[in-house]
Amino acid sequence: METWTPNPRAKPFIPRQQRSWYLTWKYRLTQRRSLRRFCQAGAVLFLLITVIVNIKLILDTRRVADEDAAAQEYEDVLPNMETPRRPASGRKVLDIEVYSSRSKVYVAVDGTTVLEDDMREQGRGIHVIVLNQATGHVMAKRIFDTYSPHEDDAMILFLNMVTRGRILIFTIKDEGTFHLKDAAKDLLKSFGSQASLNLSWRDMWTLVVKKGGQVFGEKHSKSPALSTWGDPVLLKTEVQLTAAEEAECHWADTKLNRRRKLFCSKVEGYGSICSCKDPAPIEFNPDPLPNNNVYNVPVAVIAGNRPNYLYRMLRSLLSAYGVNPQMITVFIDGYYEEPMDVVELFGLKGVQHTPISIKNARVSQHYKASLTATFNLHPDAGFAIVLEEDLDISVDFFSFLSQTIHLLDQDDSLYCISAWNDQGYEHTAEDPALLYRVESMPGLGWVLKKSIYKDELEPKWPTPEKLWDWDMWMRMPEQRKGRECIIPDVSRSYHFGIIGLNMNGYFHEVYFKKHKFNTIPNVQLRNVDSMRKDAYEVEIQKLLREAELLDHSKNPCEDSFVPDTEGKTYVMFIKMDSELDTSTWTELAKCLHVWDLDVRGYHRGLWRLFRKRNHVLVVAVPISPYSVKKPAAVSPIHLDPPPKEEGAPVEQL
Amino acid sequence: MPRVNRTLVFVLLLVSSCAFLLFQLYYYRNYVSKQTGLHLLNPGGHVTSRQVQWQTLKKFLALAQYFRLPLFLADTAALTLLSHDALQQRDRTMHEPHCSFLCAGRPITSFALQASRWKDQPGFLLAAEEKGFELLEVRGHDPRLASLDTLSGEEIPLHFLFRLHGYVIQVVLLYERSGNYLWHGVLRLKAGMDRSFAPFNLLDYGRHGGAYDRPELILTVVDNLDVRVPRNISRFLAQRRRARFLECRYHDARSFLQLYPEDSSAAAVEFRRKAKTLLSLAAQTLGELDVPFWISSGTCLGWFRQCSIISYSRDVDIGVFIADFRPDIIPAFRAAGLSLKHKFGKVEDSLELSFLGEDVKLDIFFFYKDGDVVWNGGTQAKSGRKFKYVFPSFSLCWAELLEVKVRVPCETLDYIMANYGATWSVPVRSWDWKSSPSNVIENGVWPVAEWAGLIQVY
Repeated sequence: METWTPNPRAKPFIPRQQRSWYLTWKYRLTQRRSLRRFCQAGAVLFLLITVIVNIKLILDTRRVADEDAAAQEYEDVLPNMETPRRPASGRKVLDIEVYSSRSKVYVAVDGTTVLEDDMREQGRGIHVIVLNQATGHVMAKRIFDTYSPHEDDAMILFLNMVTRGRILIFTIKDEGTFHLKDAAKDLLKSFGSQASLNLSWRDMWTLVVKKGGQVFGEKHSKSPALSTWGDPVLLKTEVQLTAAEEAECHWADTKLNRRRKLFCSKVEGYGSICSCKDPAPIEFNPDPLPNNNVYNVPVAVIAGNRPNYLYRMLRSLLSAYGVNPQMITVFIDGYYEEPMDVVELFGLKGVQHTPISIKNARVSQHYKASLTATFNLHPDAGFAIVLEEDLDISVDFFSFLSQTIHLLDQDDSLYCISAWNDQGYEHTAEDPALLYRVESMPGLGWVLKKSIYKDELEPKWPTPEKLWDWDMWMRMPEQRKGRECIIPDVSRSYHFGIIGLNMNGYFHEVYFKKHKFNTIPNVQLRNVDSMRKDAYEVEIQKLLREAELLDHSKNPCEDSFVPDTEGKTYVMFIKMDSELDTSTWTELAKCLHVWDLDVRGYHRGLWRLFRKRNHVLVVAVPISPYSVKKPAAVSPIHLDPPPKEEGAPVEQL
Repeated sequence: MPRVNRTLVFVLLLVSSCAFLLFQLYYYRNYVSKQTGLHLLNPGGHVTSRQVQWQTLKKFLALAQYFRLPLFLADTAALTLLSHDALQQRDRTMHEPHCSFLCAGRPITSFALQASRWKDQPGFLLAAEEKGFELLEVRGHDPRLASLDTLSGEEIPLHFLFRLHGYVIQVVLLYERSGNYLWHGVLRLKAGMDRSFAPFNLLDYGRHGGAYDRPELILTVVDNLDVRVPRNISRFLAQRRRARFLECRYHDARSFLQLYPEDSSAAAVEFRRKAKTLLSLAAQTLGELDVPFWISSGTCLGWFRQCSIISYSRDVDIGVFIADFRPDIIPAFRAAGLSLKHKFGKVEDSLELSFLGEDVKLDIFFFYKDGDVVWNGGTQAKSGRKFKYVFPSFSLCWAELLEVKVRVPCETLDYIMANYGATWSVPVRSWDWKSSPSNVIENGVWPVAEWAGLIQVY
């Protein structure tokens, strides 16, 4: 800064007369050199301070800028990929196109295809889509194969569950009327359908309707003859959207109800969960267990895209005594929205899995990823409980595991604890407090020990290109290594899944429907510690000693084979020359109506089950070491498979 | 020049500089002081600001106690002060009766919390907001799921920042990982988050991910507040300095494995199992001796490229700085059940130890610093020829391999590139340690007279 110097060329000061008071003083002051100097110095100082503050400001601003730059490091490198949802843009009308034909159906809403099915040999029947009347979002998609029996009942059930006011879209692919009974047709008529009563064999049909409201459009083309299909129909219509408030219920504003509200605005078909007046609970608060040994054991729920199953499963799981929702993780195979919605409805953790491979291998890879993730998420856990989405869980499931889980640690001859007894049907299982050891791996609700998984199974788990069933693989002798599983006599899980990779309605009816399922809470298990390897042998020997020999001259398939007693123990001997000689057991299993597709649920050639409330021991002679108990005079029962029928009938369309 | 003009200029200058000064003061107060929480222009406010900070902490800790959150103090400044001797402590207490440790002149105090104790308590966050705290929650991918790359779950909370009266309290969540350690994630702000919420570059945690041992905690009274602190503070602080954790590049590994699928033959599975056992044994043994080591050569490549062990590599390679060499390494490994297979070189030059466990070899290479490079030696037993492998110098980071917590060079790519060249991403099955590495230099021959001491094969 330059210093202030007086002008050297200034004129010498000449005082003048007649000045104002102010000017006089001004001149007097300026006249005084010292005072002038003082002012000048003051001004200079002032300016200097200005400069210093200025510099400091610049430095500070610089520093702040640096900090900002440093803070940049804390910014997420990935740009936010999520684009905001397309605004409704004030449009209140949806354009809807629905197509129905022999080989293809599709539904487009505002130009977006929400359903397209042109696969051969698939998707036969009536496709139903439910739209939210306020947003136009797809809330449910279902196919009812009403060519087959009972599917129309399922459709009636579903349609009745849909909230009033929703928009329903129907379209038929291929054939959808053969087993469409009058009850279903009447329901459709009550929705406003004109054509439903006239629908018949191979007709094409589409309908767009508001439940409990107006019909937006319907088209129907009759099939001219039995062997031909009706002409394809394409229905184009417009649907008036309603205000959001009208589509919602007015539940009290709680945390639970916020979850419920979100769920109910997205999906349909879960019945009273979304009922405005009296919604079904989504929190269950079952009693805790005293001394719960499995409270901190992680629970992995393996799921696919069967959200209704998952809903039913989680409801039973969360109602079981001693459940700890914090430990539950649902692993969904694929990026499906609806299963995730169900998981979030219950406030649980969900993990989605990019599908790897196909069919059985896909399931197997999903299992592996889920198990690995479970132990990753809970590094302290020594066990994991593995469940599937198509199981009901018994109210004392955790109590059962809590009483038995220590055995897995103490007995190296154990492979798992399972809640499922393959042979535990309503007529063959009796005692909820009774446990067995079996040489097979039943699955369907089981406990896996971490060390077995990490040290043995995970490293050699079947790779994606091997199309193996994970459970079959786990049952192979290379994996099982002679170890056994502990199971209850009365299963603690119930397999309700009808749709599945290896499952259909008939199969379910025959093998799963009549399975016994425990409904008594807090059953105190008997002789848990005699489940250990050596103690169990003592137990079996004791049973065999007590057992009465059944009359081997009678036909074991006859009802009179087991006397009409109660609470007794009987023993019978059947012929089984080798592991592969399964014919007698298979025939016996068939007439007892238990699992007969392969040989399961035995311990060293011994099956244990109940007949007419009596405990029956079935010993395979001679492969079972218990064969020595057979009196020499008794010859083991031998049954031959029935001769194969020629040309088994094949159902044809 | 007329006299009036001069006065006018003077007055104008005065007025404008006044105005400038006022503006600058205003700007300074508004922009700079508020940001850092430093009250430079208010020296009297220094003591009161400490009181405010103390009140803030007290309120926060009371809240945490109410919700039974076992937070522990993880603040480096505060812990450093605490770890100093008691005399100093009394001194400071005399000077500033209130907040001498926790308010160490910084507007941030850091606490840590084991995530298993967090259990998603929205109640705590709501209560904190009710008490006036502003909250910034930073979430991120769950690395325990990322390890599979095919799973995607909900993002997990990684850091919480609470702000009140310009003071920030950071809560770092420590997650249990399968290598038996605690992990915290990086703090990265997503689009739409408040970048001026806190002076992020002053945070103790969040620039990098970190790995820690599970600390033993004690409850104590600091500045009249009940606080949990690590029992061994200096150990915790030492860990913090070298806590940086590198996540394996699972996504790239996945692409690599799609190109070159993993060998799933029984022999390969068996080798991986043995290698894992050997690696965890090595980590445990050297950990007990406090000898830091990192995975080197093929083992490091396996981690970097495929997040696993290269099944045809046949051995496990680790590196140790020669400064960390201790003679009791050999007896310690023997006690752990390994046998010494060979010992090449000497502490001063090209030391290399090989142990055998089951039938997999554990090679320990000792690294020597030389200016801005480091190198390790190799010796051919039959000829006595010496080799030298030169690497650019590096620092060490934590990583996880086969569920074992190990160190890797932080500059992993440079390290790998030095060793394997630019084509490291292509598997090479036939590998000659004397000629294949791109950083190998011939380094003469051991004098024959010294062979007996320098080339020991068992």
